[in-house]
Amino acid sequence: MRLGLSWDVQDPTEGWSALLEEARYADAIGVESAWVGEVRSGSRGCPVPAGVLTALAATTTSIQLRIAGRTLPLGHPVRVAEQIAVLDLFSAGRAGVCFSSGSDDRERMRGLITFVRACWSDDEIAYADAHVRFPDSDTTTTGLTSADPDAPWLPQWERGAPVPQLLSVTPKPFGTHVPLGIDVVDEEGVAWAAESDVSPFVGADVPADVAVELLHAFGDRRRKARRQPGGVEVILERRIALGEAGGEDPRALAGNADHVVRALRRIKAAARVTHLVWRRTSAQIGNKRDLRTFLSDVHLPLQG
Amino acid sequence: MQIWTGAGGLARLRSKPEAHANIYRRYVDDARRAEDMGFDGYGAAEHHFMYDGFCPMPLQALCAAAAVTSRIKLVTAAMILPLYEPLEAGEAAATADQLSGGRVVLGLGMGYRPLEFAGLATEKKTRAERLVEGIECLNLMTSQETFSYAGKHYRYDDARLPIRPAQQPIPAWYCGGTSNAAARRSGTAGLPYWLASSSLERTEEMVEQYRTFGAQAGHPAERLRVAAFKDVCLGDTIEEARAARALMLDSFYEEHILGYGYLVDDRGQHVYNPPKGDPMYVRFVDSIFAGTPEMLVEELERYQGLGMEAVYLATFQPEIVAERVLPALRAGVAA
Repeated sequence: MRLGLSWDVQDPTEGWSALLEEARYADAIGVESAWVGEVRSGSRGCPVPAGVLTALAATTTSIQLRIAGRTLPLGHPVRVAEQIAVLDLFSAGRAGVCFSSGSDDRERMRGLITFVRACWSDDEIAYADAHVRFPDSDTTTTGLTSADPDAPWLPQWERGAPVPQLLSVTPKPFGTHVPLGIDVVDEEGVAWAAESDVSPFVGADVPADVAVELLHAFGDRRRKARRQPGGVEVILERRIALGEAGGEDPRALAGNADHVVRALRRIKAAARVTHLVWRRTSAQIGNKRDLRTFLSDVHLPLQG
Repeated sequence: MQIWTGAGGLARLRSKPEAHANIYRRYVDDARRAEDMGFDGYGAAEHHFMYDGFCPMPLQALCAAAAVTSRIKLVTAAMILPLYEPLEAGEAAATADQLSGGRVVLGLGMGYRPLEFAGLATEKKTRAERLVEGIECLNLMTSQETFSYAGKHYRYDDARLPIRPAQQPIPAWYCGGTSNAAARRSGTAGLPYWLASSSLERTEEMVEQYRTFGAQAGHPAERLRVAAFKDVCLGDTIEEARAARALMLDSFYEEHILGYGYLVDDRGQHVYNPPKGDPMYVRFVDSIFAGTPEMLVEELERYQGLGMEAVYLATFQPEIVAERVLPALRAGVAA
């Protein structure tokens, strides 16, 4: 089971430098992923997590850099594909993204995810749904279109002014397979993720029993559909208070290392979690001893 | 006068095939080196859907540069503002500004390549008006907690950025080429004007026009600030410098300038794939400075004399500029 960190950061002027410093430390001691979420509320949010992670890409060497809660229907989907490809190039293949399922129109979002994947993998494509046309031309038809091998062709710089019917989104990501996930909050989301080879992500605000139920259902769906293990991750985000007495909050894990190991082992076995993300509270950020203890006394025993 | 520089779009050059990830790694290294070498600013440009993988996200590239530098200005050179909804541009700018501790400078152009407007589904014919309105929106949203704006193309009522920038406002320049229309638009709107690479004579003419339009619109002289791009190829002899220029044209500029409508004729029409002997292209080639470092110092002193606040040197030879141009230029200023 891989280990990642995510952060509750309320104010970038105060919180970002601490987040960046902790992420660099996490990179040095072997934490496997850093997750920065999109926050658009108020005036102290993080609307462009890709920017924060790109700054981290320049100063880390091995930690995966994951965008969390990205609202895909906001803005143009090509920009999302470009942004993640640029992060992947700056980090030499360490980028990943988890989209928010907060859209009212799930069918549209699923179409957009297909489009974003095609932007990364294919040259010369067109796409249209009720809200977007790429390229914006009367000839662009609904759904995803690829190049016709028999159509006349010229190098891009020789084509002149006419808008082409197909365009390539560039640059391509460094990796041929960008880790891609989605927040799952119900059975329908679980079913779609399982069929579409998209990793399920259950956030820290979902109670543990509901989280286990959702992720267990995902595993069942995958097995019934005869999907190979390893093609996707099963990602669970939790708040963890190491060394503190367990409280009433069913969403958090608390207690000494032995207690947390046992609790996580149960969750891991029941939900087949492959990637645990520790959501760090603002009070925990910068606590290096806490992190080292977790790696040696909790994460290590859980590996074997 | 500040001297800025930067990479040519993080694109694969025809003369130098290499892995894209290596180009990105070098961009970060070069940002650090540019700061160490004494440049005042380091930039990133924007194009979309390019065969050479040109970087489409200049502010994101500057976030990487911000992480390894502490002093140097981080400059979009240029960002194609009409391709963004202004709030989206403001979010990206404020994020980079926070990460850099307030070092972002926005060079904002209107764009010209039809495929970029079609790809990102924005109207090309209104781009000039939307550039001015977009800059006005950015100035408001980065200087106030909430803002309202009622333009022809953009309208906001009590809107706010979901993140405050470190600089309030973030400096924003109108990058408008060297057409009379650009001087008029930027001067009339009272926006700082960043001229495209051009001959010294043409630059002088445009600065004069800009200031005249600005004064006629009632803007005070101190608001009418100017900067310039300058393509630069250096050598110990003029022949060596011209050889460097030929390499720059062959490996990068030629198809970009000829193929995508950068050149504009006397009627204001974009021209695609004219012959290399076309006077418009010859003028473009002649506008690329090709000379010795000493000649460049003299040229830049003339730019300084025009009241330029900054010159962005687009060059494959930043080391020569750092060793033989910056010290002489600054010594001249001190004298």
